[in-house]
Amino acid sequence: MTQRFPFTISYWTGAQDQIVDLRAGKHFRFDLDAVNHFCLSDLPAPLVDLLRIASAMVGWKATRGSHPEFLRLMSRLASFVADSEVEFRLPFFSQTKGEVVRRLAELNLHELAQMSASCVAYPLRHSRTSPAKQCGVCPACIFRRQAMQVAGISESGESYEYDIFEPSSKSEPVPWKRLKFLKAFLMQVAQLSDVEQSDRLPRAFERHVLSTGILGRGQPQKGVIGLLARYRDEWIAVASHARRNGQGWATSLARKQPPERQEQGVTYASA
Amino acid sequence: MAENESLDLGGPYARRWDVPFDSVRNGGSCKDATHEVEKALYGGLRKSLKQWNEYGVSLSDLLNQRDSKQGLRNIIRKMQGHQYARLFAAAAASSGPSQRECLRCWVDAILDTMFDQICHRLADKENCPTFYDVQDFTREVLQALDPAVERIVTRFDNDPNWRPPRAPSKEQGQSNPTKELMGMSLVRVAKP
Repeated sequence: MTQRFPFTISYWTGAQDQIVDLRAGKHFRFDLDAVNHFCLSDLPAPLVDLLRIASAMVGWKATRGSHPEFLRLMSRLASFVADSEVEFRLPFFSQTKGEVVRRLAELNLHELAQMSASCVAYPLRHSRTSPAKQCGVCPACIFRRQAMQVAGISESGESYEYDIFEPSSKSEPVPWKRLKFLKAFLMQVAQLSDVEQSDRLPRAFERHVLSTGILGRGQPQKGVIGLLARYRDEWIAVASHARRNGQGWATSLARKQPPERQEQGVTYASA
Repeated sequence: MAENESLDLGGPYARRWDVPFDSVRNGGSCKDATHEVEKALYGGLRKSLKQWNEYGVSLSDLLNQRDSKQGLRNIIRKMQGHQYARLFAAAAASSGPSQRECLRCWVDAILDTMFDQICHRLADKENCPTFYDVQDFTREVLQALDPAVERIVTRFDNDPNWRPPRAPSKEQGQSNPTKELMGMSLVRVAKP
């Protein structure tokens, strides 16, 4: 049996009554990503039942729990409960979301990406519209659309209540107050403008990375720095594309673009 | 018990930070902004330490537990998740091993939290400056604040029971920092 789902905190909390069934005296390893499928055929039946619970999760309940620190703690808990080593692995840890989605495109799985939904409230708070639409302005929607653009996978603006990336001439302008999350993304990108100039992350990023256990004290930060630099470059390219399309929000990233970085390795889908 | 002092710009328990924000938004100079931020920082720290005290916790308690995640978590729970204390925990986990580094990281975290929100809000209008412009300005303010931050850190490092006084007026703020440090021991023993 092969099943695909986001591994979530709600899965664990929802499955608390049955978690003891994990005791199988076996080493499990879960690859947590959206592309590789979980192959459950080798797992004992109770565990398969547990995993099925997660596929029923919808909306925000199914979007958490892939933070490295959370998974490290969950590995400890699961190992303790199962009385054998259970390890959660994040194979795409060192890739941006855009790079992960680009891999989907390379595998010719555009449609699979287009069929998915990322919105934190979908479809719970958007069932008034028929068919239900993703909001387009929450952090998950923004992150998704950025990644899709980087991967060159086109999406219809019709799937979103607000289309801030590729609005058609018929689209209503997005109220500025709805752009607060987008602004937060852009501000973060601006803070990463010189990230690769040093061996250390900017102090707010360093604080986050160390305090949440993504890296340990004294561990080299080069890998994370490289990841953030690539992420920044993706955004700069997306913003420059949006600027050419007359998107007002994109002007807030209109300065300090090292020319050699612009749009390298990024392709765009047509709207 | 009064609600905890917060760092949510625009929120009811972080009103003191509205003043520096307004100063920046209204095109105030770097010097003005620096002075207002310093005042708010002193006020926020003073109020927070007072509230910690009401919970039966002091800065020394947090400093003593800075190497224990669980210890800090317990203290923070006792303080109903006080935001300044949560930032302390983040700082403790990411700073160098010394007390001074931890304190410096904590004060930096407070300022970063606030400046992030100021930057975010300044770009609230269609005709906003770019994030790079706002960032350059805030970086300048942070640089100008550096001596004040160092003074606060030195004070706490020498005496964790020190309470930040009401922030100096603009004129007093221009006093000589060396003179201010003269009353303090250089061997980390508080003078009576």
